[in-house]
Amino acid sequence: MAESLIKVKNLVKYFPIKSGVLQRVTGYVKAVDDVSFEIARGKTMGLVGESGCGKTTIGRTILRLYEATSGTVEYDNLNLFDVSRSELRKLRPQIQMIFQDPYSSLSPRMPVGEIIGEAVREHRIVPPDQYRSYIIETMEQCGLQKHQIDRYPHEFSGGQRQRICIARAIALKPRFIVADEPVSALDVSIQAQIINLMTDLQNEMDLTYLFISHDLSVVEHISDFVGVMYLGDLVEYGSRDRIFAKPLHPYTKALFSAVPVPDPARKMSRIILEGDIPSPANPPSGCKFHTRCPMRMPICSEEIPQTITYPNGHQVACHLYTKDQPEAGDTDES
Amino acid sequence: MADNMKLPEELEMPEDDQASEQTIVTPGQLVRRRFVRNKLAIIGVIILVIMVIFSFIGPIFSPYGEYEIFYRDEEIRYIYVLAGDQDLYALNIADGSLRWHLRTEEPIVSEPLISAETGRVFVQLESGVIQEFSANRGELANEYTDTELTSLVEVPFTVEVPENEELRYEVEFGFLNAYSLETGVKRWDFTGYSPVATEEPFYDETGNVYVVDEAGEVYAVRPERGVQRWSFQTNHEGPYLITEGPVIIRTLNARTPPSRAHLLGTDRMGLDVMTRLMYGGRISLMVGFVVIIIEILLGVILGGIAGYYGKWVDNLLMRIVDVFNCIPILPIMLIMGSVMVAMEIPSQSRIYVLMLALGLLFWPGVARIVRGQILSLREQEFMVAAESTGLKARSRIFFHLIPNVMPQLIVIATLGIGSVILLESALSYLGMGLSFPYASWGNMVDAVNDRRIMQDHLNIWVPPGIAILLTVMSFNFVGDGLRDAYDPKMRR
Amino acid sequence: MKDSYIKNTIMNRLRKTKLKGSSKARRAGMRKLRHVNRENQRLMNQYERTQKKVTIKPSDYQCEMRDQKNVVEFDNLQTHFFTDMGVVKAVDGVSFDVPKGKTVGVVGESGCGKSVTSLSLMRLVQRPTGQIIGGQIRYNNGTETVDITKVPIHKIQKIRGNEIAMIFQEPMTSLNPVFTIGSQIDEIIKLHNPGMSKKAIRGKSIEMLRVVGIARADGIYHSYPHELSGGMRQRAMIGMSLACDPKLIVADEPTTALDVTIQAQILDLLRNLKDKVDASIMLITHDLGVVAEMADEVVVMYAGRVIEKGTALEIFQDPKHPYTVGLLNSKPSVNKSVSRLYSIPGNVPNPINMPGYCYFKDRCDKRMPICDGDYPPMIKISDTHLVACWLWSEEVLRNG
Repeated sequence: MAESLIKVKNLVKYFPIKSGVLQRVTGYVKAVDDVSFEIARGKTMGLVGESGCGKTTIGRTILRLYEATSGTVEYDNLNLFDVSRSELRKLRPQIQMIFQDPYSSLSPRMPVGEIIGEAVREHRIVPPDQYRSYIIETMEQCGLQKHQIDRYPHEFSGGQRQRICIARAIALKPRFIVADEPVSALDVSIQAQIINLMTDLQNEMDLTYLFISHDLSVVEHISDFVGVMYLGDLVEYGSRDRIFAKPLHPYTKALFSAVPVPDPARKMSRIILEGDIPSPANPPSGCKFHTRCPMRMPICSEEIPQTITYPNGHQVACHLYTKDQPEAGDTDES
Repeated sequence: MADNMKLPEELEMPEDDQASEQTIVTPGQLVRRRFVRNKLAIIGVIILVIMVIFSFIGPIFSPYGEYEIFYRDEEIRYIYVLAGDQDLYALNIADGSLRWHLRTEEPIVSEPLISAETGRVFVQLESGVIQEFSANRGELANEYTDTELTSLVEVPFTVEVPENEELRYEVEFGFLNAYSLETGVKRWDFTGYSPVATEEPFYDETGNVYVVDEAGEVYAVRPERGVQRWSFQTNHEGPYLITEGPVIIRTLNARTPPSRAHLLGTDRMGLDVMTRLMYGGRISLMVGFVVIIIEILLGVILGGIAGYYGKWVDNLLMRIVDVFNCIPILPIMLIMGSVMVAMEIPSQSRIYVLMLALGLLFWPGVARIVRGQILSLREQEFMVAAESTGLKARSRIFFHLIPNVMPQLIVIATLGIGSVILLESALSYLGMGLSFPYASWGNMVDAVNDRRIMQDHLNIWVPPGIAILLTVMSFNFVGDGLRDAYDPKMRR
Repeated sequence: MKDSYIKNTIMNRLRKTKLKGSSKARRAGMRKLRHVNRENQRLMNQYERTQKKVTIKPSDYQCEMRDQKNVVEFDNLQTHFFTDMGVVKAVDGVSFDVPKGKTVGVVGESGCGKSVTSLSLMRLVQRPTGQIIGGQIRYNNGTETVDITKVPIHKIQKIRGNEIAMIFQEPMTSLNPVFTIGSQIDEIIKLHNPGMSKKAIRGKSIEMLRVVGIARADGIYHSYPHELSGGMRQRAMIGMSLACDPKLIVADEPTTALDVTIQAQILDLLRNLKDKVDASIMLITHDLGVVAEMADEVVVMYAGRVIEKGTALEIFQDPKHPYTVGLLNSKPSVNKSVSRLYSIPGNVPNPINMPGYCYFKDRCDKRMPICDGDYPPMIKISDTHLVACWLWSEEVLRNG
């Protein structure tokens, strides 16, 4: 594995639930519960899961938009949770974020040039005399036209707005970008444009992405590594090819099979999960997935499964697998 | 690259020469457009502009001052009673009240002679000196010697006694008897507390009969039924001589109907209603604006702090807001009003105290809205984005937060001015606002406390009432219009 | 230092405003707005007047179905919005049929007019800005055929919810938060069967909830919408729409707000229900996968027009319109890896001031000189498959 740019170790983020007149803490929403992974420089890690599984929280905690409950995030061997606020502010340009909703992520009362350029000016990314030309250059790099610099967000379509968001991020010359569902709100034909833009930029600028999405097909396309989350846990992690070719965790399997395929002729055998996702405030005991798991065993509701790491880097947290047992994928392929 | 900085026109040129690309529509323009389409709001704006011009520029063209009191000269009659030969009484003909009384040093030998022109009273004293008294106050104006009374008074006042076709008066045995001229039948008789002493009753133009009884009480008697209109006790013995004279007095030119000189007439203090309406508008509008500015400033700063920093700061500030919301405004203002009276704060400064007090009492409402707005904006992704790009807190607040709270603020402010004007009127009406001689619309409407004014002098209190109504309504129209313009979805 | 920072920033902003001060462009913007406004007001008033006409004779709205096998026929429907920026032709000449007992999928990207088509069918287009200005929506309820665009309001209210049920994207907004799920279903059943006893109504409501796969139907009957999860709510909503035996169910993005695993549940439910109830389904979605799974026939819309329609197999296996092809290619699919996604260049055109030629021309990689001409007509590929593209016109095919 290449040198890691981002190392997330035992990240935990609980949101307190306050209730009553005195706002006493009565419980915690366990949004992220002991998650560890690494992202190599210039690679993309995809994080999939359903709503409420904590994938957005991970993204925001890495950026210290939320303060983590425990654990560390190392960026270039520097623990992000240790740096002071002013140091963090200086680091900010290097770690950027792209948001899901291209409508609420742009201030409606600012022209595009200002949206992109504000932080460029603040961090003195380029000398003042090159400021405007730099903005235009960035805009063009992201597929916007230079005459649009004075327009306001309301005049743009969703895809163009997402381009503006990307331009705002890359104008700061970042090294790492957390993309939080960047294409979920977009139309299919525009999704492809944005994904292509993101891959192009990655190649040009040697970017590292954490790509958060609920859309498996998009994640499969863009990622080098994939993590699957369920209720705050990273249930499976591995290289894209391994995960998609041979998913191990029953949840991953169900998730993959639930994706509708645009081909009416292909009738897949579908694993349909029962019930709803439990509340992360009150997760089930043992393996959190056991309430919906089609392959549950008695042990599942009692014991939390340990994460098993196979020699090829594939990780899974499920009682179905043990460390000694040779990985199913390996035997099949050999 | 530097060229780009210098030639913005060039940048404007779209690459694909589409005509529609040339037009830039800013969010502001869209808002303006939607606002202009709202007819009520436009009517509101027009009314407000008229009100502002009327209040702030109008006084320049007004010929009168804010507290210029107008008087008029009025001719009334006095009844002069010469009791004995040294005491002269001047009584108001209408109610018999004593206007003045004087006692000459020497006995008067002549009948009092009254000038028809000036109303002055001339008497000749025993020594031959003629004394001239002013009609208003009975002050000694001049003394003449060696002249004839008749030469001094060229046109003496004479009572034009109406040809009394009906009655004939006789004083018999202490009674004043009235006989019908036609039939000779006695119609009525009159006696005072003591028998009537006058031999020849005096009667004036209106037909009233004046007699004096033995105890020196002067009576005015109505001719129709012989009932007493008024009486006045002199403290001197007779003989009594009754006569009448004109007096010119200055009275307040109060409660006049609209006229050329006073377009809306005058109020009960003789002040020009139109002029006061202008000055009153000045105060009312100014109070509205100043209070709102104080309110917004405090509200934005405190609400902003509460919303942005959250946690205990938010908690503390919001509890303060709760406390403020519990303060009963009216009693507090009543107390403040009386405190100000007790401390003898001049009327002019009271309005400033009032403005400050209102501003201080009303900021919690604004603070609460600003806080709510900021709390919801803070969660918006563009705020998170601003944070993740590493912008300083200050620029996040000033360039991201405030511009987005602005629309809400403008709407609150516009609607708020209306309610402040109303409150100011109410307080002025209750006597806590600006007090006489300064005008505000509220204390002008205060005039309705007088029943007569309420019924008969609509010109005094209706115009300020309408002014308040129109202004407050216009502010509400404009506020609603702005809200709809900023957030077109709200209307549905 | 700090002050100078603020000063600089403010100065920068001021300078920007000055730069921006190509006041000509702004003034032109203002002029345009004013002109558009005046025109809109006039047209809107005109359509409002016809809407408010008091007496509408049955002969005014009764009509004949082209094909008795259809429940609904859209015929050249035109629904326009008169907005501040200009007239948006959200639906501009849309024609397609919904046959009895079939599922028709309407696909397209946001702003293509698919939702407005369904709203026009329910006559729920937001007036006065939105107006149906032409075309027919023929609806056959078994006894008579009416033109939805012309029927009086009281009649449409009877059709709406009774004969045509609607399932929305976000069930929370279409369920009343202050009533229990049960009472909301009861109400609909009562409206439909006035003579029914309270107990029977309750029984039917619970049965309805069972039908949509809610296990604890008794418990859910007494729950309020906010107590349910998104999937449950959507199930309840579906149960509600089935409660009055509709002829047609309009499902507007029924699974878009749901998670993948829940979406699979709901789609499974809908598929099973289709066999049980005798209703047509008009499924509106942007998700090609969902359409492929659910629909018998597919209508592809682009910029307010139908550009291709046919059976699901035809559309997905043999798409003819370059847009449909592009759409299918640009969707990455699991276990089919490509190094670079196909993407349709450009954006959906501005819905105001649409050109006279094919709306897709500017983004099309197969454009020809003929594309500069008129908007292409619907060209028949097979009996069921129609496409609006010059590529398949006879002369182009003949000339190669």
